[in-house]
Amino acid sequence: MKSVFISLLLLIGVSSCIKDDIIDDYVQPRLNITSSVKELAKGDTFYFEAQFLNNIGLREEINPEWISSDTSIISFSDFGIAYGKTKGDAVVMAKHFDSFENEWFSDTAYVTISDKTIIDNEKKSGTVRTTSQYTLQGDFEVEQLENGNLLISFAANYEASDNLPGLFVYLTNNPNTINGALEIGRVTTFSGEHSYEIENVNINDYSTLLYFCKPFNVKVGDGTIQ
Amino acid sequence: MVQFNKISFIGLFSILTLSTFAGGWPQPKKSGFFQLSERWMRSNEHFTDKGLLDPNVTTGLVISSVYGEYGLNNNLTVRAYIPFLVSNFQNNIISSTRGTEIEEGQILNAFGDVILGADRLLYKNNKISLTVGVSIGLATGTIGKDEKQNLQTGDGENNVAARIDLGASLFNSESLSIYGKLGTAYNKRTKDFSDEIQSQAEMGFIIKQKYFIISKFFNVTSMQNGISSGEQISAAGVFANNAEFNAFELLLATDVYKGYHLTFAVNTILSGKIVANGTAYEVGVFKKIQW
Repeated sequence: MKSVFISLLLLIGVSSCIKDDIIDDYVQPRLNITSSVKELAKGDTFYFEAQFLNNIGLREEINPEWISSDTSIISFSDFGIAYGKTKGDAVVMAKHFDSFENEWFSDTAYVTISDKTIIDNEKKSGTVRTTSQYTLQGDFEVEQLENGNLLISFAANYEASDNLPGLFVYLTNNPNTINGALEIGRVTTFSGEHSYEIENVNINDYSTLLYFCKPFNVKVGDGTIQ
Repeated sequence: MVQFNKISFIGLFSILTLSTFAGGWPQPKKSGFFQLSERWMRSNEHFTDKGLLDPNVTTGLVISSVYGEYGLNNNLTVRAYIPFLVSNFQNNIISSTRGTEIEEGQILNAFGDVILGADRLLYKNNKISLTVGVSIGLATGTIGKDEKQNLQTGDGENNVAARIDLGASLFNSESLSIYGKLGTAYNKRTKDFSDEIQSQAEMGFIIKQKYFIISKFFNVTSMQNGISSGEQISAAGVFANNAEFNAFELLLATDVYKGYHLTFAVNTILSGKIVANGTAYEVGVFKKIQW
């Protein structure tokens, strides 16, 4: 009998061993201009910013090269500070060579040098869709508020299952995981209009709204911010 | 039935111990049995609220428990289920792209929810036995004490279940006995959890009074009178209310040494809602006692 009891105790250790779950978290690496102007007043400066997101959607610190299509209209000093020289239209480009990918990445923005400066903070929108067997759908808009916060507003057609324990919503650049994602909060509204105000987030910082069952580490749905 | 209360959290599996359903025939006066067992399960998918399958991080549960029944007299049996060590764990999550660890696995080892109960004989003859019983589930387990507050070893609510069981002797000879049993219970739960109706059908074969082959079918149906899991803000957030399932269990037991019986059980979910999908295994030892 002694051996039976010992075997039972051993099973406790064996059967509760934590192992590894492998998930596919690859996303296409990309460079995004995150801070831009639609119009820049002649004689003014503007600090352009860009972020490089690696192949798992995490932001990496870079020092991109800034290029103007017409340096007589707009020119760059170091670190993305642009100067509006003369009135006209130009294309600005951020470039970065990533040694891990062994590849150049770039993003462009169109700028008009005029009499006034207009920050490019247009509203964005998207549609949440389920990627699981749980109900999740609805349209949303994303807006940069004057106080620097981000407002995400859901339309009346929003609907989510209230049967999933621990449903959370995130902002992320990788729709496959919450690795590096910004947790907005637990979902407490399951139908109809509602909104989230997130402090100090730029409208261009994240590409995706992600719904995730936090206790069980499983994606429920997502919506691309466009 | 006693351990039906343990099943409900998503990823929590149908942890059903055969011996806890020993009601139907009460224990004789000053007689009973105790069982030491371990039951475990891993699951990487679950039944959704629509009864469809979705993946989840591999979640496991191991329950080491003692269960006992004792006849105070020929008509009244008391019972206790004590899960003295419950391990709830989740796997590490690894990036296939970079090979790095995205989420570290976690484990919570703690005492589980104790259940106490009693069965009263209502009627008995040579062929059938009818009992009624009551059990009390105590929230002695732990919720959300792990680093990420995801895991739990109990459901966090106290409950009272009233049950009725009908047992029937179907065949009897020197070498083979066959019995059947039907039981149902209403489990009244607290803290906004929905009540449940728990039903069970069982058929057992006893060969030469030494080998036991027992098959069981379980059903748990939620009364849907609590709040939804999404609205339930518990410490851990992993407790899924309104879980429902059908499960099948096969148990084999044999007398191995001076009345000590070795048991092995396999339990699998057939269908369900908001419950983990997978197979649970149990090994145990039980012995009849007389005081």
